[in-house]
Amino acid sequence: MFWKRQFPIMITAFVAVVMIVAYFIPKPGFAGTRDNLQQWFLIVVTFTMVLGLLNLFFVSLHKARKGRKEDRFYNWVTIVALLGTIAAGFLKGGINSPAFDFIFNYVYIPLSATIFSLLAFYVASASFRAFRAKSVMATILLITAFIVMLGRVPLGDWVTGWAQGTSLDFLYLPNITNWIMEVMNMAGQRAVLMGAALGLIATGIKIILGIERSYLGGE
Amino acid sequence: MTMTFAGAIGIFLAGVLTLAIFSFLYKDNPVYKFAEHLFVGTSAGYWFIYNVYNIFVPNVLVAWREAGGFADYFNVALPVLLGFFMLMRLIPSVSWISRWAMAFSVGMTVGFNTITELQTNILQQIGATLSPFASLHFNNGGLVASVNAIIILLAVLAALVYFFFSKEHTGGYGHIAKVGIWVLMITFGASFGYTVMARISLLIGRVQFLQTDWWVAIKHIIGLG
Repeated sequence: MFWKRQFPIMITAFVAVVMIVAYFIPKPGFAGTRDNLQQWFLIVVTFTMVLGLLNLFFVSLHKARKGRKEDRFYNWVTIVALLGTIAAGFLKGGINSPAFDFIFNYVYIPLSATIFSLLAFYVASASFRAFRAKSVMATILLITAFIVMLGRVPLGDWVTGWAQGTSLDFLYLPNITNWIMEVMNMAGQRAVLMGAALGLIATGIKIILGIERSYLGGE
Repeated sequence: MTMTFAGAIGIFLAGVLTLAIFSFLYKDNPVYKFAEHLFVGTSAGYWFIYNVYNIFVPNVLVAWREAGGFADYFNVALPVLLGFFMLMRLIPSVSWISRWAMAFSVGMTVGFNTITELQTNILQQIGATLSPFASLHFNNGGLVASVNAIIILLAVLAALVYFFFSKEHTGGYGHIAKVGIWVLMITFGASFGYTVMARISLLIGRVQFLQTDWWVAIKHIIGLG
């Protein structure tokens, strides 16, 4: 039981404390320790990626062989794409091999950009549902989003262009957008960042003290 | 710019895949599913290869080959051992060993982030909020900047008051918290608007790709370009 429960908590606490303490000791040995631990972490992360990859492979293989009949073909597509990309990466030239380059430029990039661009439609449809000015708060959110969107496109310039350079310059939509982004948005983002950082540090302390141990599977 | 035949085929394929993803706007269909699964496979494969060449090769293979003493070998062997422990998760009877690697990763993340968050998201943000007050002046040149600096400070404080739940949000404190919610709503609205514009810009990029590059590639393939 010690090796399964207490020992991992000891490793976590030890590594976290070393990382924190080493930062405050301005000696080359301690800075080196931090660098070494970071390098170890990168290597472990690579293995974690292998774990994820094997998991994807076995889950897809299982579904391709024993899953719903109509979905089997698509799981084979995943497997072939996965193995094909990896094989291309191990060809002569590695990451710069023509085959890997082809997959990256003409398959991965267009698919990833299009999937993200597809979100424009979903965000628009979600905003139709969410942007009902039911309360003062929702109205503030709606008006701000509207101004920011309008201020970033030529329409905003076209509608309020007459105010630019006059004494009513503050009514020029791109100026209002810039003010919202650089003053109000920045203030809110700062508060959110500070709040989140305090929460993260508090959770970190709980992990170091062994109070929070859900990362061990809830035990 | 001259286009090779292989390049034209690649751009043609990219256009077909783009349309395959857009076909989901009509409804879920086999063409979309094919493109979606293709994306899952290629992106997993791409990031794996990227990690192999950028992390594993220099930090493990090259580092091992160039190791000059026990410390160097140790610095490669131990994380690789931890990495193998992580893979033990796939074998149910010994999967508990993966907890050691997981514990190392969590400890490392906690130790690293505690300092980084404290430095970047707390101290630097406080500094950036307060530093304009060192040169606050209300003459013609600095009026706007000074008023903005005061607004930022008050807005940050109000939003932080809203985040502080140890005191009940009533009375004057409640009013400040309410201003804090307004600040947060403006922030969320601005972030939302900004995100929408970023996505629209991606969409425009894809449509322009179909309109220009893709047509040029098709013409090239059928011998018209």
